[in-house]
Amino acid sequence: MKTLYAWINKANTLFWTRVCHSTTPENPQGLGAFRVLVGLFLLALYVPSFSWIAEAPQALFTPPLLSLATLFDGFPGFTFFFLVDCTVLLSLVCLTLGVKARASTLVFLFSCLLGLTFNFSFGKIDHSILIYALLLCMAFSGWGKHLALFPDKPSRVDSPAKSLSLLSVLLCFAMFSAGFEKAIHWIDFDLALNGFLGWFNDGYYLLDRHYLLAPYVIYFPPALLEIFDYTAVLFELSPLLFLLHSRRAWRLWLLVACIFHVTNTFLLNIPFIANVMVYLAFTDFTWLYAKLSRWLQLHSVRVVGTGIVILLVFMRGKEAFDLSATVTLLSPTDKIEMKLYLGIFLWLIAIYLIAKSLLRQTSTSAPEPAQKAITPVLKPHY
Amino acid sequence: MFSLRFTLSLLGILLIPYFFRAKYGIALEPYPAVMLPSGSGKVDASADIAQISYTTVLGRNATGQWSRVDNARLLYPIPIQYLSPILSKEFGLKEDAGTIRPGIQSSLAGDLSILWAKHVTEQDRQEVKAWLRGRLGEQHFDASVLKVVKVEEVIAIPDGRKLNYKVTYENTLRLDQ
Repeated sequence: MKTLYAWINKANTLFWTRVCHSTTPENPQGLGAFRVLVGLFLLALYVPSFSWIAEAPQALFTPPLLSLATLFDGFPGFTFFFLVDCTVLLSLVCLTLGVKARASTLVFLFSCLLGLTFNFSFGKIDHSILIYALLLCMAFSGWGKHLALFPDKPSRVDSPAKSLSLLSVLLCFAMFSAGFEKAIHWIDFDLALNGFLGWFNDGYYLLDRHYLLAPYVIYFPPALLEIFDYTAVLFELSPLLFLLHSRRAWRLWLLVACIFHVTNTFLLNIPFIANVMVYLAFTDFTWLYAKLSRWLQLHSVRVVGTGIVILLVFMRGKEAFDLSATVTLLSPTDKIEMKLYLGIFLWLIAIYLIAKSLLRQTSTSAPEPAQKAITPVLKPHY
Repeated sequence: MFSLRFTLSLLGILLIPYFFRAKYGIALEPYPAVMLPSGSGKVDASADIAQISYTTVLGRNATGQWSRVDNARLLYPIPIQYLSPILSKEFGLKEDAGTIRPGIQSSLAGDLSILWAKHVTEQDRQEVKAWLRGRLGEQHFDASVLKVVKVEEVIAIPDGRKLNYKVTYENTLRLDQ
């Protein structure tokens, strides 16, 4: 029994050692710059709002059976959602500016999850969970120590290596949850039945996803569509292998993931932009930290930066609390085409940054052997 | 490094929700849970046709004809992706609407859905009727009535011609009673 326990314990250590080796950030200061980037991304494009739920008729209340909302008899009132929205916005501003970022990240995360529980009480759960998994992990990465107005104090709970390791495993599992059932049904060696086409037909004929290259998919031969099926399964079931192989292999998988999403944007018109930040968490933002540190010395940059944050907060606040359709300027939920172009732009940036970190790693530093002890944080190199 | 206890807890946190979804269907998918949609269905790729089915809303216009309602405007600010589950319970006006939810693929999910059903009261019904009347009026439809219809279409590929259009279910909802 003891031997078995020792063996499992050793396997556990080996597993996390390899994961850590593939994901440990080059420089924790880069995480400060990444925090600013994530904060601005959320403020400008992705922060959810919930006050509109209070306007929905109670007869539509269909909470997920296994969720907090199922304990309620109906949608809570406007005051509840107003307070959630205010907390979300305030904590997001604190996260972006670095006001006790660990606490503000957690407050933002739990406020969003609380609001989303009711958001998904119309009978359908949307799968945006990875961006919240990112926030949970990064809250304990120490990303609030640098480029922060009120930096977090050093704490034993902060570990950049552990945070990114955990995030990578969550990402691998999420992909597995999407890919396993596909593998059972899609790997059928039957050109007459196709899974990719199922996704396409629903979007093209029912949701009017006719943009970019979508109109050409109907001309694709069955053999090509079958290759798409196998590629999707391979892509979604393989990340753990890449993660355990090496740092370079993991970044290669991230690069493939970005290309996969760009392809989906072009062919299926599904941009899935929230994942951009999840993949970018594994690249090095030391260069951005150096630039931001230099720029923030300048008074004019600080004024412009503050102005941008105030403008974004104003826009998001107006969108959250004014439910007329004319205020959705920065959240193009109804402007599908604009959202697609934005998605392509973001995915191309992600491809560039991940390819850059992959190539630089190839040309400059050989990865450490897996059996060596992990150095939690590598030396910064500007 | 993470301890063995942490790893086992993590496995439980990840696998238990996945087990519920995989074994009992999406109606028992917990939230929050680290999962992405599977979407593992397949369609016929060999024929030069696409068969699609959908549920939509028809309203009666000024000339008395039934025509498609702009569903995005009808629901706003509720996002359009929730149209299908909302229509499956016909805005909560269907009989036993509280027990209806998409993705019930097992008896456990069905039983729990009945056991934990949110009862739609008469007040709730009147509220949703008033809400719908306002939304239909904005689109210049007769505010007293709407139809929920399920349609099956056969579409020619690649030119997109409708080869067949069949209404497989329809229910007229009176909103003025």
